[in-house]
Order: sequence, then structure tokens, then C-alpha cells
Amino acid sequence: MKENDLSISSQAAYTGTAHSPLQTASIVEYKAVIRARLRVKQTFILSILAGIFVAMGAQFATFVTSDSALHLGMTSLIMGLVFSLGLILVETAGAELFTGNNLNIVGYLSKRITTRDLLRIWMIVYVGNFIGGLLMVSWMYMAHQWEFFHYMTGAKALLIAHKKTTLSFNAALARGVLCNALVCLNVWLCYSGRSMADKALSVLFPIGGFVASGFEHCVANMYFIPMGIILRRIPSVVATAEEMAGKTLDLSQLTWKGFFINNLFPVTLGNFVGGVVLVGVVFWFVYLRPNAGYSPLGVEPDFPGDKK
Amino acid sequence: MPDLQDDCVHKRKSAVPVIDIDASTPEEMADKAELVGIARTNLGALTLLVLSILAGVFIALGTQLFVLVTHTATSSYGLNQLIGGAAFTLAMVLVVITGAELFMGNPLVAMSFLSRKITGRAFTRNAIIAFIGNLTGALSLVVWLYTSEQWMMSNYLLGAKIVLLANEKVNTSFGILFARGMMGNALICLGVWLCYCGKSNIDKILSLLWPVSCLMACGFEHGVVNMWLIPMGILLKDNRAVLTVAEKAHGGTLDLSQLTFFKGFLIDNLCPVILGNAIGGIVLVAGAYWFVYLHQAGKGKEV
Repeated sequence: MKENDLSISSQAAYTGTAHSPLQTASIVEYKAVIRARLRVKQTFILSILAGIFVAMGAQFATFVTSDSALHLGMTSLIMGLVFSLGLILVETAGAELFTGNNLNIVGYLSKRITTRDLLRIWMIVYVGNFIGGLLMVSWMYMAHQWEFFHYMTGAKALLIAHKKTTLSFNAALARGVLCNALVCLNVWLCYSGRSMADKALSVLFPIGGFVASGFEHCVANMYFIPMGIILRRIPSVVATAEEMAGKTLDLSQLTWKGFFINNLFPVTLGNFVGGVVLVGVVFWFVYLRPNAGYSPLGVEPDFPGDKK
Repeated sequence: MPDLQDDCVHKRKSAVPVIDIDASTPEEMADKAELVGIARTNLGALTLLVLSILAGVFIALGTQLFVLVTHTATSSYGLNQLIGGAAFTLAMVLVVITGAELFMGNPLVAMSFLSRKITGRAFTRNAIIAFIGNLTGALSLVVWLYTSEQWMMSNYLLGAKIVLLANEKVNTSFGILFARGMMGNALICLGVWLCYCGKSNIDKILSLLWPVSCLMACGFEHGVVNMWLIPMGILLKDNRAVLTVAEKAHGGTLDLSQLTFFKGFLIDNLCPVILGNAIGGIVLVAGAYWFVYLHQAGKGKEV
């Protein structure tokens, strides 16, 4: 073996050493190529799964915090840590989430994938995530989990959805930006680790952080808000929610129209800016731009479906 | 910060790494330190600036999380501070794993400076760019978080707590801030030092958890943390609703006259804290390990 051979792949095989930031950047770049190679059907199913996984984390977080007597800050943190379930599933079981897929811009800027591929993946994944979220809404509704703790689980879901639909445009946008910056950083941390423990633990901090901080994630909202819209029609849930909030609630914004205009549009836009510009473009500029001064590593990581 | 240089480290060694998941010994670490310092100072100014901005953003994200988690606590403050500190670890995890450049946050660069592997000029250039970048990143997060209206949480209590914390920081005397700053950055540098010893990400996250949560929980000072907290407080102190809640939480009228950008933030707070940070990082951690493992290396008795 030559003296200067970096042997990234053999290093990967034998040691637990995490990828360096430069290697991680190459992996993110290469991952975009893998996603572009997937067939539409594959991407679509994976994105439905991602929608379901995130919704699973969202309902878990709602359930756990529904009757919390801890103070708000602590409850929020616990909610975030529990929500991580969704992203741990996405990162390790394999699923295509719209927010994480914003990092495909790295492969695009390095000219590894075409504009068509880029837009195709984003569109399919967004639609798939939406379907996944709505599927979970229907199952969770049928499961009657919202009756638990004297309707407090349902009431908590209603309050979360209500808060999300009453945000101003700028607030929803800024919260979307900050959210997806953290989600994409979480993807980055996951790619740099090698073991399951690395990945699971690296999800906890950024995802726990963004949920606790009340930032807005468009795919999570595809579950949270439709769930609220459905639960709104159940009088006992609304009564419990008003009791929990200690005031009468004006639920007039909690409609499909309110969902799309007040929340989903600004949040998706914010997520896009946060993921594509603040993480994808910035890291591409630092580590992968043509005259960045690093020698290309050509890392070819071992992702499934990659044997060509 | 660690591992950006692994590629160049491996290039120096002839053999392909063997089956090796053991943590590095301090001696190995100190050897590596010089290479890391060289690689770090060879980065282009623009790349370094962007990496510093990222570090400022990450620390600000961690700080807002810390304030958010602790802001509603009404009892067991120690425990709440501990959990807030653990949540703040997010910031340093991001800094270390993505290779961002934190002001005075890398003891290995200081070590290679002490070993004369990099010039004082290169070291100063790094520190200045990191300072500017960190400040820019933290201030940009002030704008984003102000726009997000997150400070309205729990009926403006979150904003009020930010104002109270910021006001306390600008009204503390020079000596106290200096000592707290010294301990603050010593803990950060120790955390980063442990990260270099570890190999996998779980090694790194766990080695950051203890020193970094100690820093935040015990109320030690770090310049970059204050770069978000105090400007955010300055921005929020003009808000009537926030001020009312803050005075209620404080239990009396507040004197916010010190809470200004230039006098209060830059001079009264940041100067002593940054000075303490520099001494804590360079002397207490880098200097000590440099002296033991590099300066005195091989001078011991044969056993």
C-alpha cells in the first residue's frame, strides 16, 4: 500500500473513529447521488415511512407531556427528548424526510445530481411525508388514544395545534429556519458517527433542542395540526383543553385554511431556507467548494442500495 | 474541532490504521496537537470566518435552550441548572463534530503555538477571526430568535428571564467575571481535549456532557455565550410587556441603565470575560499539558 494512501474505507471498516467533518461533507454529497438513483416508487414509500415515523414521535411527545405537572421549561425539554424517537427511526431505519433531504443541495452544488433530480426528490418526498402524516392522524384518531387521562391527551394535541396556527407569518418563518438548521445538523451528526449509539445519541441533542425551543418542523406539523383539526369537533376534548388553558379558546384559525396559510406555507419556506441555505450551502462552501484547499476524498460510504 | 486534521495525521503515518478503538493517551494527544494547530491555522480566512460564524450560531442555540429549560423553575434551582446545562451541551456537540471554530475553544492550537510550531501572528489571526465570526453568528441568532417571538413564551416570562440574566451579567464586577471566565473556558477546553482523546461520536458527546454542563450549571462565564444573551437582553429591555414581567419576577423596580451595547456589554462584561477565557484556555489547559507532555517530554528518569 502506498505511503500516502488515505484508505478511508479500510479505516471505516476497522475502527470506530468518527468521520472527520471533511469526510462527513463528502458523505452528504454522495448521499444525494444515492437518493437520485432510487426509483420513484422507492423514494415514495420511504417518504411515507418518514411521515409516519415523525408523526409517531409527535404523538409520543404529546402523550408523555399531556398531564405533566413539571414546570414548562422542563416539560418542553422532555417533550423534545421523547420526540427524538421519530428522527432516530428516520436516521437509522432509513426513510426520506423532506427536511433532511434539503441537504441534497450539497450534491447539486458539486454537480453530482441534476436540477431535475433535485426537484423530483423534493416533490415526491414532500407529498409522501404529507400522506404519512395524514395516515397517522387517521390511525391515531381511530385508536381513541385522545380519550386517555380524561381527554387530556386529546386536549394537549388540540392546544399544540391551536398554538401553531395562531403564529404570525414572520414568527413561523423564523421558527422554521431555526428548526431545519437543527434538523440538518442532526443529519450531519448522524452521518459522521458510525455506530448505532453514535447516531441515537447525536439525534437527542439537536432534535430535543428544536422541539423544546418551540421551533416549527413542517413534517411534524403535517401530523400535529390535522390531528387538532379533527379533535376540535369533539366537545369533551375542547372542554378539557379550555380547562387546561384556563380560558376560552378561539379556535377559528384551526381549519385546513388556517393550517396551510398560517403555518405550513411559512414553515416550509423557513425550513427550506434553514436547511438549504444555512446548512447545505454553508457547509458546501466551507468543505467542498472547488478551491477550498482540501484534496477531494472521494468517500464512497456503505449505504444500502449502493452496489452498482 | 477535532478530526478535521485526521486526514493529515494519517498521511504522516506509514501504516493503515489497525483495529483500534482505544482512546488516545495524553502523550499521543499532545503529539497530535502540533499537527492540529498547523492545519487549523492554514485554513483560508474566509473558511475560518464561516466556521467561526457557525460556532457563534451553535453556542447561541445552546444558550437559548438553557434559558428556555430553566426559565419557569420555581424550586430546586440546582437541579434545574444541571438539566439546562446538559441541554446546553448541544452547542458544544455541534461545534466539535462539525469542526466549527470557537474563540479560544481549541487548546490544541494554543499548544502548537507554545511549541513554536505556529507563529504568534498566525495564532492571533485565528483568535481575531474567531472572535469576529462568533460575534456575527451570535448576533444573527439574536435577530432570528427575536423574529421568532419565542421570548413571548409563558406570558413573556422567557424574555423577562433573558433581561434579568443579561442585567446581572453587566452588573458584575471585573474580578468576579474574570475568575468565572477563566473557569468557564478551562472547562470548555478540557471538554475539547477529552474529545480529541475519544474516537467515536459517542465518546465525544459523553466527554463534553460533564464539563460543558458544569460550565452552564455553575454559572461560569463564556464570552460567546454572553454574545447572544446580553444583546438579546438589550433588545428585549425596551419591550413594555417583558419589562413588567421582569420587574414582577425580580420583585421590585429594575435598574437597567447598565444594560447597553458598548459600555455594558463590550466593556463591563466582555473584556474581563474574554481575558479570563484566554487565560483559562491558554494557561490552565493548553499550558499545563504542553508543559507536561511536550516541553518536559523525555526528560524524566529512565525506569
